[in-house]
Amino acid sequence: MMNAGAQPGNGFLAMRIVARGVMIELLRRKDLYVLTILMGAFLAGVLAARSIGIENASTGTFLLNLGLTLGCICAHILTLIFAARQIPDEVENRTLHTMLAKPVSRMQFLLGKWISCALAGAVSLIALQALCLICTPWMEAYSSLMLAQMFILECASLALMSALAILFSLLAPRGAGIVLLAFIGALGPRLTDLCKARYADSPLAGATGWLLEYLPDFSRLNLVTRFTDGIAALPAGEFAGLLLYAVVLIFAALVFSAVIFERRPL
Amino acid sequence: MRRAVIAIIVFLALPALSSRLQPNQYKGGRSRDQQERFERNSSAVAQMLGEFRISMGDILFLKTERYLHNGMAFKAHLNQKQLLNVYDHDHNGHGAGDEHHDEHDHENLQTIIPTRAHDFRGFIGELERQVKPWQDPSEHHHEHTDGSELLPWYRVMTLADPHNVRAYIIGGYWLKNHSIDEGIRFISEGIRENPDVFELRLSLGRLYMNKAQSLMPPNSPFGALPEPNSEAERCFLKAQEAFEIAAEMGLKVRPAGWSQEAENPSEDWSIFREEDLLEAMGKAIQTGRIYRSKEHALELAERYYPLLPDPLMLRYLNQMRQLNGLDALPETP
Amino acid sequence: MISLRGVFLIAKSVLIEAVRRREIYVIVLAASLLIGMVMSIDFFDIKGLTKFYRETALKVMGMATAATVIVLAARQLPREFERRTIYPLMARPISRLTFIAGKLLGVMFSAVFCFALFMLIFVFGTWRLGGEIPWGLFLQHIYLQLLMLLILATLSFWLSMLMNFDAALTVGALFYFSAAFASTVILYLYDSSGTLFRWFLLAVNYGIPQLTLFDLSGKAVHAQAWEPLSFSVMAQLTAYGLSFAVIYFAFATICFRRRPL
Repeated sequence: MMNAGAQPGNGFLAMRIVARGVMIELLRRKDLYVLTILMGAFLAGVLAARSIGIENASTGTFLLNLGLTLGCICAHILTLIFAARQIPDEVENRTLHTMLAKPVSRMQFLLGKWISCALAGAVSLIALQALCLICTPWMEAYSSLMLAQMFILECASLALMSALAILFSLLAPRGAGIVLLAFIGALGPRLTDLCKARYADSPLAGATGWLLEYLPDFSRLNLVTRFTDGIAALPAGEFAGLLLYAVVLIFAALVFSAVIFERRPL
Repeated sequence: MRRAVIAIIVFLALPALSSRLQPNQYKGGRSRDQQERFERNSSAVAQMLGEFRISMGDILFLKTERYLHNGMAFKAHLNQKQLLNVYDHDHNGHGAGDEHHDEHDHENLQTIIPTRAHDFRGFIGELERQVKPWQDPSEHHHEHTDGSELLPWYRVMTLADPHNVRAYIIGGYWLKNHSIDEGIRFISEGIRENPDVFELRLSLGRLYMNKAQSLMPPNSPFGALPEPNSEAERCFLKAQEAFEIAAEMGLKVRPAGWSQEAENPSEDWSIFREEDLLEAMGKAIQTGRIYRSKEHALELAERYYPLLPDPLMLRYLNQMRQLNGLDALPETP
Repeated sequence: MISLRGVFLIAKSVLIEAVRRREIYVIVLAASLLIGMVMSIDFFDIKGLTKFYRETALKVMGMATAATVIVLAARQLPREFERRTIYPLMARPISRLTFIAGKLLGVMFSAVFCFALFMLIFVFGTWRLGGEIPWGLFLQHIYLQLLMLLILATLSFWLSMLMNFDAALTVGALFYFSAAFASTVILYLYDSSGTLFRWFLLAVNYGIPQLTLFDLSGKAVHAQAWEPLSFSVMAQLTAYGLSFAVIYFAFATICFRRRPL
């Protein structure tokens, strides 16, 4: 369903307009403050650790793992909060009408929102993890290719978080959606493990395992510990499979969001 | 509409792809290495972070220390081997492994919250010592509590990371005082998840030995023979089989010519693993002699000694040779 | 002047809104799900393993309630300005002190409501496990947690007057989550610092509330080995907590008063 005047050929331009709007909003609302505060906290932590002294290589690796993981968690939380407030804010402030009065379809509007939130998340990730990689000493051997894979998959994970946050914001009140998605993001894999273990010996084991695979598993896209453990990079096939996993979930989340959004009265 | 149908179909097929993707299910790694775990968790930086950890293995390491001391936070001092010994010393009066000794240093223990004499924080330090589980280490009689309250942590740990072998071993060890059968089930699960780890077979053998002993008449001496075809005999034989498998698997993975003093020690082998292998071989020979035959025990000793020419192995070999009417080999090569 | 009736009316509206928005229920539900999920694991069929339950439940409950309080407190004042609902309120004979005190009381009522829901779940869980609740330490823990929440709420009010909502939320959350190791960091840094930095650390030690002092969960988990705190220690902790709450509340009120409508 496209608004009058929305041309398919102008789709990219329309998305860019929406994305630009989100970026301006992020700057106007001083969301950069949050990132700066987090970076400051990071730096303070690393400086405190360095002044106490990093006694051995294991401790260096421990700090690197901690820093990269915290960077990843913070970027996900920021993306979740950015993305979850986009549509409810537009509805609440009644700016959605103005936006959709322009030649922008609802799908383009959603895509613009999604991509800008994912980008904002990626910027946060780069800032926080780069700070960690620069300030923490590398005292053991790590694979550079693994680092690149880790980073790409984390960006895919942020894009997934952005898509799911938009979907949840359309399904539930904003606060509830954030809590629910944060719960799934943080504890989804553990929940899956527990359920699988519980039904391991039952005839329902196969069906339960299959059903649980539908729960988005962000831990699959987080290779920080694999990187700091000094394990070799993933084979190309498995890496591509993981990217495909993220893409399928993002695609599904965005299409479901579009279906709900298009049917919602303004 | 077409987009929605495609999305539904693609989403429904997702498990076919995702169930094959487990990038974090790998063996080994620094986060699981017990020596590295001990080093990083005993460092000042880690102690500064309190209980804040990312890795479940590290969280478990800290919980173990705290639960054994009624919640008191000491600077990390128990390595994984000592944890087994701590339990046996406190509850049974002897060490877990036949050859191991508890090197756990009670004299120089330090709490993370300092004593008043070493604390610059004034009344805040005083309040913290009241609020947190704390006793002056010089006045505190250092005893360890029952580690069974830790068992849920081991269960959670192995669910989160089925390749954490130490969690299976220590969890199984503590379980034996509650239910040996549950311990056997737990270790068997560990073997299913990590079929090539010889230490788990050794633990299984230990548990079967415990079970067999519990089925023997009260006050039966070690080495007493069970009733033929009894449950006890079956357990002894299972224990012997587990020790033998552990020894064979351990010898396969042990780097040839390994020694603790070597300039470039192997990352995959440590003194702890060496001790476990020696224990597996020793128990395979001993139980082989008692529950199978002296010829079988000699066969095992003659096979093991050239592969791991340790003085302990030589002693076992000579014992078996003498039992079989052969001359003992000279003690020095 | 402060009007007690006004304070209670505003507090009531904050509580009603918090309950109506269903966020508290979602948080309690998510936390309870987590606790229930953990307790549904078969722990080798051994009965009476209550330390694990106590530790997990108290930790999850504490964190969930603290997060609720920080979010609620940090958004109270900025949202009134953003939605312009402060103007009709200020047009009534309500002083700004009454207004902010009412908001604080409302946030604390919500915290108590959230905590009460959790406690019901905690007591039910312990009863199901067949364990005992160490009532002395447990009640002291709840009291100290509420004191800590009061500090967090007043701090969040103040922060929300200094920076935007998201930044106030981040600083409040960072402050809470780093509290567990802040005092240890100070201790370790002190040993390796020069004289000037030691003075700075001393100032930090006394000038910033050490939230870890309000966490009695360590003793409550291992309750068989520890006695409840003495009255004198509880009184000192109360004075310590209240003094910070009063200071932060005063700062928040000053900032609120100076803010043009």
